[in-house]
Amino acid sequence: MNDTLVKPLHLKSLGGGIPVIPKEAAGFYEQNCIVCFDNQGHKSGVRLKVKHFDDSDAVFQVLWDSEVTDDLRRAYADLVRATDNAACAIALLIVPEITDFTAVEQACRGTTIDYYLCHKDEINDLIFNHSARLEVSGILHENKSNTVDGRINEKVKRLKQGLLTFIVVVEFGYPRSKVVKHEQFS
Amino acid sequence: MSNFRELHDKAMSLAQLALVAREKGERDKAEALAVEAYKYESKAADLIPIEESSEPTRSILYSSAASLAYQGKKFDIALQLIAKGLCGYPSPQVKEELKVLWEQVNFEEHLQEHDITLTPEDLQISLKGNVVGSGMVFYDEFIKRIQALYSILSRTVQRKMQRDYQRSGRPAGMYKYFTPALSVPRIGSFAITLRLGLPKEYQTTMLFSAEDIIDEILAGVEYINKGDIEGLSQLIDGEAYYLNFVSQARIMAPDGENIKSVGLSSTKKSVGLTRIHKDIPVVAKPGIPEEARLKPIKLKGVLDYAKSRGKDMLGFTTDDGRIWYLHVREGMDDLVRSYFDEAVSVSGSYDPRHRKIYLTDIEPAED
Repeated sequence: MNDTLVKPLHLKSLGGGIPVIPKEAAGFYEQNCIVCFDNQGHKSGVRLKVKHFDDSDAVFQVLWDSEVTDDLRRAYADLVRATDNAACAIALLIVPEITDFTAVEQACRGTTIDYYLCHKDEINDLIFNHSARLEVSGILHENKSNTVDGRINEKVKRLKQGLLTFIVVVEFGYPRSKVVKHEQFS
Repeated sequence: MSNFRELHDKAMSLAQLALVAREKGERDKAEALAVEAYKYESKAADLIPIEESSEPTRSILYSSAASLAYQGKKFDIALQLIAKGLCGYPSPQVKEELKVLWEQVNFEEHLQEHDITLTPEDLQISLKGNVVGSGMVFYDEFIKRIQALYSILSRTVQRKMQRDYQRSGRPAGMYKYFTPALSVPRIGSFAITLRLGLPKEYQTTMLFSAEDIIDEILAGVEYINKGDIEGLSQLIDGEAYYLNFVSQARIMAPDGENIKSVGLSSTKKSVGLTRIHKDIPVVAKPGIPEEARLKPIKLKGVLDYAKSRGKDMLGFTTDDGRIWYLHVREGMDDLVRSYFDEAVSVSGSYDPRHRKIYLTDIEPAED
């Protein structure tokens, strides 16, 4: 168990190092995150507890610089969408921290977006031949009928045969996140 | 970095910017960025040789390129890219994704070919299948789906107005702001448009628009098509509204023969409902405990209104003349009502102590 080390997770870092998020889009994801944390009464420096798939815990201190204004809140008034986008951003930041993977491809499927992950040091052109999938889900505030574990179970039920899959559920109320690794064989 | 990685990374950057533009409502910009993105992604895919060892990379790249071309409304190109992906050795999972995308692109292309222009207040429903001719469709197949869509529209308005689920009786006038109007059928498949008219006197007082209602319905149908119960549950608050949406979408869904696909389109997007109705279970919202201790049961018979005991307990007479009582949960009432006096197959959980069946599903009885 390693639950004492608190690692900084700066939302600004969305703009560098994650192949699927270009600098120009980083601000959008950062703002979605800030609005969700702010909606739940959190400020920069809030601790995000991550339950790791190997049963260990990690704690991240989520940091941001921007002010939360009424204009910003209005711009992201659709909190269902904001929660989805913010959860994706947090997942894309924590996955490289706790695994050897990073996201290299977004796969739009209707209203949800999944990602393909490849090894951080992958140099081969066949980038998906040893890849994994990332499925993300966000909850603004957990309640009895909408829990992190419930979301994980729903995702696991819908997984199809195929690639290794990481499921990340991010909850902004507590805030906390759970990462599940699901091995599948076709 | 290889040429391949540069092309792919550029494609992903543009795809992400397209997504952000779409989220911000900048549709033209989103389309233009998606077009740019597909060009880079398809070039990257073309660099990967067609051989088994190239998979799943090759087919994933073509799937991605096709999806971007589709987002950029380049339907012919999207179909070509899907075909290229299928030509290789895609895994069953990627193959299935390519096939679903093929259906979606075909449907969109159909709208474009027939120069169908929608306004933000328009919701188009399109049917394809063996009972659909040139601008003609079997009455029964059409009417039950349009009634289901109307029910979804009405319930969505009531829900957005934060009204408690109304189980019976006609909705009060104040909840009937939107007056759907039907267009003439279009040829090719059978497609009609519902225009959600809002009387002038209400236009300044409504907190949401026809467009909001349509967006919400399309998002819900998309979740149903993917089997994403969790997403739908998040979208629709309230067990009764949730259950009603699932049960009505189930009526609209294709049967796989008479109707093979049902498409819904707005100015923003199109959603193909390709899951057949049998594959859409009417189950409780996640987190609500099921009647776990009861016995599962499936029976064929006729819904018998005369034998009903109040609004919650409907009479049901099986072929051997036995009378059963069905407990109908809030939200399933519209579905059940559509089957009165018809031969149906019901599924549920049987409570032997109180001799009643908690209804979970109902469908027309097969001959």
